[in-house]
Amino acid sequence: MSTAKTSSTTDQMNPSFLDPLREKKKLPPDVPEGYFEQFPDRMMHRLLASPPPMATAPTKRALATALLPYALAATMAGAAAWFFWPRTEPTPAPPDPLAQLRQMPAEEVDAYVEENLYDYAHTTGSYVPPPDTNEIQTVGPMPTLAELKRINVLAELDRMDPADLEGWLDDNPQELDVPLDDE
Amino acid sequence: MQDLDPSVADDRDLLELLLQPQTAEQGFRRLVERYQVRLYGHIRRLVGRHEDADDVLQNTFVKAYHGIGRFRGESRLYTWLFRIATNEALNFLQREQRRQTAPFGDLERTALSARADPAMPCGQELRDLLDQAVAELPHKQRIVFDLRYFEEMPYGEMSKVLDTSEGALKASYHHAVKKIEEYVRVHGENLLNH
Repeated sequence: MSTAKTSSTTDQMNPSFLDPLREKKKLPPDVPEGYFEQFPDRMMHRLLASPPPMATAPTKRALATALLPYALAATMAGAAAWFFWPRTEPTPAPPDPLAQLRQMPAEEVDAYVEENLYDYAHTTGSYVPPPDTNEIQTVGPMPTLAELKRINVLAELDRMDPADLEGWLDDNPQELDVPLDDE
Repeated sequence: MQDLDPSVADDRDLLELLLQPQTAEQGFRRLVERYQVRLYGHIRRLVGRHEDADDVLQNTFVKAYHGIGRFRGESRLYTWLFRIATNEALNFLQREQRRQTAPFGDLERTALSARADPAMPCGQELRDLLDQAVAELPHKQRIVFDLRYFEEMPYGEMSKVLDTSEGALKASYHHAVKKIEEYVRVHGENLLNH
């Protein structure tokens, strides 16, 4: 800094209008009396009051050593929990109900359907459950009154003693017109 | 007062004392005695108040003592110390700014009170004006100006202290000088009119 080159550069960089500030280079303003004489003692006092710098590393090492068993225990516990934690089995995909039938030869499918009609109907979804109602299903046309009478007459004739039958027919000759099933 | 431009050999001796546990305290005292004035001046010009400069200076030396083991000798010891001091001062200024107090108000007050001192040399008013102009600079630009103008630190050393390229530092110093010049031009007219 005291070389000619440096001074020259400094002069170039420091315009003359800054000259009044040059005094500040020599000594800072208004420093309390005796400040710099006392400062080293104050610093030494502060330094002795603070922990020595070399104690920092051993303190950290001691702290790390003290915490090491806990850290190991936590790690082991974590590993054990991971290892022994019950795992839920993955839900199997729903089976394809028609996969077996698709792979069967046609003749085997026919045999299967005959033997397992109920299963086949359920498997293929073709099963239609009966309606859950109390309605009387109509199975055919309702019999007429004359037909009902004939049915009743025939049932009565079936129950009659053959000896009585001839007498009854004599009394009810119109019933002979009733066509009989076995005729 | 102490030697303001210690040689590298002196620094080497100091380091040897500081790095040996049995001589560390002795080395620390020598370090403080050797650099306290320069560091105080640098810090004081940045933070303004003596009390604040005293706090920052103490923190600087304590950090230097605790971190001396990390000093790798790639730069001069005083460069390393200035780096710590600058960072400490900058942290202080940023804390103060967050508290929304005028960071450099004390400097201006000091300058104003000095005007009433009849023992002050001629041109004191202009010096006060320059003080105020410097106080108006942004923090980092002010640090650059301080290191270059007051400390006359080479740009190479400044680059190590501030971790900034020499070109950027030259530009920053140039801008700082222009701002001070402009401040003096504007406010100097008012001074002359009074």
